[in-house]
Amino acid sequence: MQNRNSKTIYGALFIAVFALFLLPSLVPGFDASLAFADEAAVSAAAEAEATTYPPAPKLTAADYPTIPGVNSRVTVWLAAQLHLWFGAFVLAVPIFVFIIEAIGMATRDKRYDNMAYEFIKVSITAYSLTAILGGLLAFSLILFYPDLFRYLSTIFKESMFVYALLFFAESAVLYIYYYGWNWLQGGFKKWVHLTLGLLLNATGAMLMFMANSWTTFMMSPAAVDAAGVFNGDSWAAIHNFLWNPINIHRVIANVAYGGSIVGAYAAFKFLSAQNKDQRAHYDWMGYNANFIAIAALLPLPFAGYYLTAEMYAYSQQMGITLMGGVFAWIFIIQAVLIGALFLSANYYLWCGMGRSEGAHRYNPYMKYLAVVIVGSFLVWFTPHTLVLTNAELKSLGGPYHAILGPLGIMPAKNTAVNLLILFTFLSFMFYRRANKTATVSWAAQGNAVQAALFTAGIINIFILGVYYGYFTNTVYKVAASIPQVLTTLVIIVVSVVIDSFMYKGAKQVAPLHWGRVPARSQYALFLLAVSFTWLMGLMGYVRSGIRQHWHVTNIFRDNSPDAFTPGLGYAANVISVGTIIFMAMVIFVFWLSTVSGRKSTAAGYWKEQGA
Amino acid sequence: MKTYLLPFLGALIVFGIVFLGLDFTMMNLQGLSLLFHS
Repeated sequence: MQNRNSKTIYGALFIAVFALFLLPSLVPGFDASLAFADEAAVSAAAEAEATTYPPAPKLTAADYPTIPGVNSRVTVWLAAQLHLWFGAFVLAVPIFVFIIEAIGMATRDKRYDNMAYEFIKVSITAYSLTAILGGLLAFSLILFYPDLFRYLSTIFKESMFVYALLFFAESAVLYIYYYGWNWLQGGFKKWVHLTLGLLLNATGAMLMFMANSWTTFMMSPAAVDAAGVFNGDSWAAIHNFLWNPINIHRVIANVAYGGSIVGAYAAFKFLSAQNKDQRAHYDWMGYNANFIAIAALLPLPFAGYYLTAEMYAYSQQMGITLMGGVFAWIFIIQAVLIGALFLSANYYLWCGMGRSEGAHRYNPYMKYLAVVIVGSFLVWFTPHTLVLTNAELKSLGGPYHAILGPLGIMPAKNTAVNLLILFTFLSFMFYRRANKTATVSWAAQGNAVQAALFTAGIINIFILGVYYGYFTNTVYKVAASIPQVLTTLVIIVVSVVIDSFMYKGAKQVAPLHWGRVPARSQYALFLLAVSFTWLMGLMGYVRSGIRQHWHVTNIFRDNSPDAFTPGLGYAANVISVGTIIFMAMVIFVFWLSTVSGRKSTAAGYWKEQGA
Repeated sequence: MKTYLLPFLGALIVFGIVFLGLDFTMMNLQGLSLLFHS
């Protein structure tokens, strides 16, 4: 068994090294040393100048191949979305597995190592599904949108080729990382293993960044003229306006999403646990997964806001379509789902307080947290422009509600989301204190300082939201969101620092009973995973839909029969179907990880048994 | 009073000044003043 694993590992190592050495020779100028860099750049430029690129084609409906009974747009939509869901999961898992493995190495607590190994095991099948769905997406694009694919692959030929080759490196590193887990234990070997984890993250991130550039090029094209003629500058085409905003958003979102999926896995295993030890193990795993999901969820609204701000900066028309036009109500649905995320994450933490008797001291505060979180949620999803009939419009006296209308604009929502984030953080801080008593002499003063920090910060957030939101102009209104965000971040960072000093050497009031949580808390973890998935589907549709009738904005017109913005109900139905398909596939992945550990004794089946 | 209220009030003033400074700096960095002038 060890021999077989070693052979697999050496083989995979050979492929990884081969792929990594092959890559530089295929990317122009990549392998140039300093002495040859200029020469390579000059020859690349000369080559580019010599190559003339065609303009973006002007297509008609007849140029789009069809297959009877197959809706091209929905096929590509679902293939892309399913691929993205799985892709997000398999990129996220190595991020927190790397961190968990490092924590295990630092604390020498093998539970962390075992948990990291279990997370990677769950994601192995998901890697295959990601690749299969990627293949389905590529085939769908080639079959149904061949001219678009040809146009994009002409511009991105180098990065698409590197992308394909990088899968060799990623697969090889993943297999060595997973199959070599028990072999590369202890001392230097453990550092080698951790480095492989880092390499896995690096290749995964590169894959995502490359694919992101093709997507964002379609939204904010670069290195092409008005007719769509490429100027040969591949890096400029990759490094287009929306590339980095989406890179940042997807990295953070992937971590939050991956945490929620493994949380759902832990919840599934908890509910099907056979004994107390299993329940304790999966309860602990679920808690860690929820922690990862919340930790990444807290900065996520800001990453999304930054992405939207950059969309507005690139094209006001695109930005207004996104949030002020036809897609505005999708953002209301998004707000409801984000509220569900925050509510279920908090509910899970509050249920978790029951693990320790020491938490009873903090129970009276929970209702105040709940009131603020629910209140913020209500403001967060209050719409501005209402969907009204003429009669309703007349009786209301306009498209906006007289009292609630002002809560529908961004300053109110920014204020609400900052409070949601702060109070979710507060829930976590209470949870963290549940089974401890601070023994430092300045504990009371420390609490007073933290209370003052929160009070001053919340007052500041309100003043920024109300004053700049309702008594100034748009420029000030938008600008004020930055100090609002920073206030929240300052509160979180300073509070964590104070608390970590305050609870050094803390006394344990009552032990944490892992496994002692009600079953409904596990359903909160399921809700987290489903809400995240649904939300990603909605936002993915919006990001793609704001291109409206363009394959590549303002450059390459979409003249396919399906080039229309569907009604919200239709779009929501497609996304819901996709979510159900994804959930079914995820349950399949979870089930596989369960059966892989099962053994059946087939008495009398094998001839050796009869002898 | 001494163990909680005084430290709370003191920290409230300090953090109030910190956040005011943060607002002033961030608005200035964006080319705007702290108070709106139409």
